[in-house]
Amino acid sequence: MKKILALLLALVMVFALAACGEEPAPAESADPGAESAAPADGDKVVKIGVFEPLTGDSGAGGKQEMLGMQYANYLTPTVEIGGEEYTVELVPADNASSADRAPTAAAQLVSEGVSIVLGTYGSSAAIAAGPTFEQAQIPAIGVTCTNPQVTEGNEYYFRICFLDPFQGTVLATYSIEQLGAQKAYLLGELGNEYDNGLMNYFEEAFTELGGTVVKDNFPTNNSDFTSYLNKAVSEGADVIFCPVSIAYSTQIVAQAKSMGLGTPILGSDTLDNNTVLEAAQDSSVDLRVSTFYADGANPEFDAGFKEWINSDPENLTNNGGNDTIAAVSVMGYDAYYVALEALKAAGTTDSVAVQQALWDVEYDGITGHIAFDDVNGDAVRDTAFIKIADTENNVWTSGGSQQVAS
Amino acid sequence: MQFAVSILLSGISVGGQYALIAIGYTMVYGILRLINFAHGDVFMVAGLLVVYMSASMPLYISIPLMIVFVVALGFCIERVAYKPLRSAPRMSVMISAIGVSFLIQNFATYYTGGLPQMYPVIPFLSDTVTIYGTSTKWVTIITPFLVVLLVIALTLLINKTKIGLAMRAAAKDFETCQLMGIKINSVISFTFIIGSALAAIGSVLYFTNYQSIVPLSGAMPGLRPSSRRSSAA
Amino acid sequence: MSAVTLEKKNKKGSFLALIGVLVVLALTIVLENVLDPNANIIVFTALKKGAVYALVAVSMNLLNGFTGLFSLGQAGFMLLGGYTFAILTIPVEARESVYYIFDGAAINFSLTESLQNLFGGSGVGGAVGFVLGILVALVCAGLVAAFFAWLIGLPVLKLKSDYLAIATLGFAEIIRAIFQWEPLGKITNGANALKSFPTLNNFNIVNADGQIVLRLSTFAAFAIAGLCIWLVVLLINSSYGRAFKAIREDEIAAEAMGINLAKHKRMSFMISSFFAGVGGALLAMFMNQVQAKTFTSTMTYEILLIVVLGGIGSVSGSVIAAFLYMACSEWWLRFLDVPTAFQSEGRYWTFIAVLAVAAVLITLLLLWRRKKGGAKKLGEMWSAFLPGVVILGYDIYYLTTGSRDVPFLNSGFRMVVFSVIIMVVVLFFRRGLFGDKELPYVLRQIGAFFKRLFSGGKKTVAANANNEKEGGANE
Repeated sequence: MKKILALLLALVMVFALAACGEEPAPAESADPGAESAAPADGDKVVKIGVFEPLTGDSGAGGKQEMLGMQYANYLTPTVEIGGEEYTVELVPADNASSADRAPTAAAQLVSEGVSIVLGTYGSSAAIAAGPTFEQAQIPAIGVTCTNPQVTEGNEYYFRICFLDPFQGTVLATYSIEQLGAQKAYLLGELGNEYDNGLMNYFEEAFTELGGTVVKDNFPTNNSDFTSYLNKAVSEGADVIFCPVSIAYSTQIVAQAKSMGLGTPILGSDTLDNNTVLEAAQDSSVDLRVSTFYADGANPEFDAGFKEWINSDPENLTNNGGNDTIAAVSVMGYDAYYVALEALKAAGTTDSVAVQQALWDVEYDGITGHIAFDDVNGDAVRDTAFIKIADTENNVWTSGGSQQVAS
Repeated sequence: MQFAVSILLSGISVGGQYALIAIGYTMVYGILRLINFAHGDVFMVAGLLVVYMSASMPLYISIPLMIVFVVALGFCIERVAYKPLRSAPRMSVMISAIGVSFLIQNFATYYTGGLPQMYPVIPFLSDTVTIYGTSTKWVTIITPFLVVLLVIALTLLINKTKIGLAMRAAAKDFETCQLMGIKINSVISFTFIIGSALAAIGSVLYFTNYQSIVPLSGAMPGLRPSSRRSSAA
Repeated sequence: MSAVTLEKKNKKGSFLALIGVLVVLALTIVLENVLDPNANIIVFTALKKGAVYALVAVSMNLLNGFTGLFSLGQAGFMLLGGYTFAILTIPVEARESVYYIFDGAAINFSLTESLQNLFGGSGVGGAVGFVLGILVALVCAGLVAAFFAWLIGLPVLKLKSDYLAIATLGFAEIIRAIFQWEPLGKITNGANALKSFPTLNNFNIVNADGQIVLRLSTFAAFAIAGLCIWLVVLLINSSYGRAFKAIREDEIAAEAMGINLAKHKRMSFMISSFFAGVGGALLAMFMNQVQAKTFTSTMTYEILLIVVLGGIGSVSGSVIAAFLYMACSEWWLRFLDVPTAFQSEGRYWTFIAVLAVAAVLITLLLLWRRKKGGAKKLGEMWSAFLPGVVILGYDIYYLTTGSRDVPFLNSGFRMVVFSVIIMVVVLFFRRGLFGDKELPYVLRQIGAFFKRLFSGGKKTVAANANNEKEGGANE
């Protein structure tokens, strides 16, 4: 009896919540300007979907990427499309870094009626959501998803970053040419396509240039890396390549620090993160990472972004507690402007027109010149930047750039 | 040689830390026949508490305070999530445990933003020591001794004290125990308090060694002892 | 009640159920084609995922709820099913690009394509071949999962309760690690995702220009999941199903009645795994790709949550819980991730109202529980007021600030609220939403409740007392 009462009450609550979530959808379409918090420069609103992991394994990276977009939105809240002033509204959807939640998150964005989508951090969620965007005919711009499969065979998925094959080759060339390495120890998470893909390309290029490699995988949620690092030392490796996610890389660096490891640790774009830097603080660890963006290339942007981060404690939390600029944030920032360029070029908020316009969009961003090739819509990039951790001052220093003849 | 020593050292130390967590599991399982999925997450919260508290107060205050908070957390979890389900089917209690685990993990993700948090450096424990050419932290050496000490203390508690007798009785037969006039609720609460305290101490040792804490940090150490417990019990 | 009338009633019931299912299926077709596809895509995506999880939850319920075998290997069997389906159906020319790291696949043949060719390439014949290919691949997915269930069942099914759970959990982890193992890359694609295989969207009928004429993707998910669930229901109502239930209630007594324990346990385990495999294949079709790292133990726990929330031993409970769970976690609560969610007038007041109602409800429920627990004086019940007072306090505070920004609404908050909802349901419905009853029974109960509510007065109290006594006796 009471059970039925409770059941009914629970149902009422669920439907109330549902109504809460549902209700504004029609209201918005009827009166688009009413919802936005921004001062109404024009009554028209164009929505840009932010398809990022905000929880789950790569929630941290997703949040930093989104920070870049939010900052760009803060600087440029409006855009002129077809002679009319539109207010840009960012619509976030959390894909929880997992492939089984990505289609619903993507569907959420499609239902909200976005014109273009930015994201995501982590390639598997992007692959899972690709067909949803394709079917709804909404273009998506991958910001830092480096797996080749993301854009392949999907006319609606573009990307502005370089790809895994490129990055693996760059790092292999760098370690042979700059570090004089002959033997490399490769360490990645078992079953992570990002780690293993990069390791494969690294191995390919490295052996081609005359080096030898030792490959190792650790199980998911592993926390003890000292035995792996010791193995690298006992194998006599000249360089340790570990393109792993942020959580593991902080562990690896912290444990290398306690071991007093002298062998250079080489990382991919995921390691370009302030928490990794913090882990290496005051130690002899020689940490080098490849990244999308050379620190200090644009002091004006750096200063502005830091000021904006510090202005709101929420941003500070999302950035990991300090104002070091992550490369993914800069990529997010550039992606936002590429999206605006596409909207301007299309002259309408219609997503199909935006997709057509995207192919020819060119933009000079903070991370360099951005243009798309006409095969898959991948960015044409031939340079990666190397950063070296200055563990005394807790900052990244530039290690120059590395190019690969493609 | 160097490689063997390093493997041996990390093996002993990891084993010791897992032992501290596993004791918490086993005690709860022994009495309630419940796999306490939230135990690993309590462990993770213990780590996060030190990270946040050490930012504003010295370690010699924040660590004891953390132990108090963690014990209170363990106590509350039992009171809120397990006690009302004492007569419910076993599966419901387990789901409640999974639910608490989800809640703690999700809250930690929400609060920390999901970025790894670096555990503070603890004087002495974090200092480096070199054995046979392998450098490691003092905590690695101390852990096995500390664990043995704690286990001896716990064995004494269980074998020699009145509450220990009550715990053993409850593990043997829950219902008869109640008939004998043992206040079963306080025995269970006490079990959770000891388990949480051990998890708190274990977290200090563990995170001094493996410094970064993510919301899922508790999931793996949480799962491993439970499988170990099953194979040993 | 005599056996004959009972049977008649059952017949009538199953006829009604059939009509209900057909109506739902027809509705999915009509709604998906009538409603604006882009604006309502979230509805259909959530429904598709709900259908997949309903099937997987029912298969787990068959094992855990009806046979009483506590297994946590569901994700492992789903992985087997998903991979089998993908490997069998990826088009041949796409294999080169999918297996790009391993320079092509070891298996170069696609079920859907060969069947399509058999039935004459394109057009109606092609469509028939395509659907048939998918169905065959689905069955294969189930069979592979069932085969592995048989294999590991040999040693594992001798274990009891928690030990069985841990052993199957370990099996799922091992399977995942094997599928991620690089040397098998030519088949499993190692750590990389398998993609480009037929997905639910391929069921949409397209004309020559590539325009969608008839949308059938939701219908396909519902039809396949529905068919499988119907088979499970048939099984449960057969003599085998009764044997399963007998084993659940008391193994020794069941054995004494002449039930072959080992055989029936193995059967239940294999059938459950078969449908988990089919469910895994459907999930792969839903996700548009399949990758081993998706199938973690967290996924098994999620399914277990659905089973227990719906009611252990209730098929309709599992189905409804699966849809509610998906709707809550993927759709209804999403607005909680945005700080500016309550800017509009309607949402603002709804939020305030929901908080107030929630405070009152939680207090009432807690009071009732304390009272049932034996507390008499109000002083003993003080703790029951705590959560309600906190929520109400915040509600009033929020109302007085006048600001419409809710500072704590932020990315990740949705999941916190979601876990709180789960906890509330678990704590107040200790037997799940439906207990071990099915939908018609629950509907009758609710109907009876309203009847009593409106007949009013003293009678209600008496009836309540009566009912409670009955309920007690039933439990």
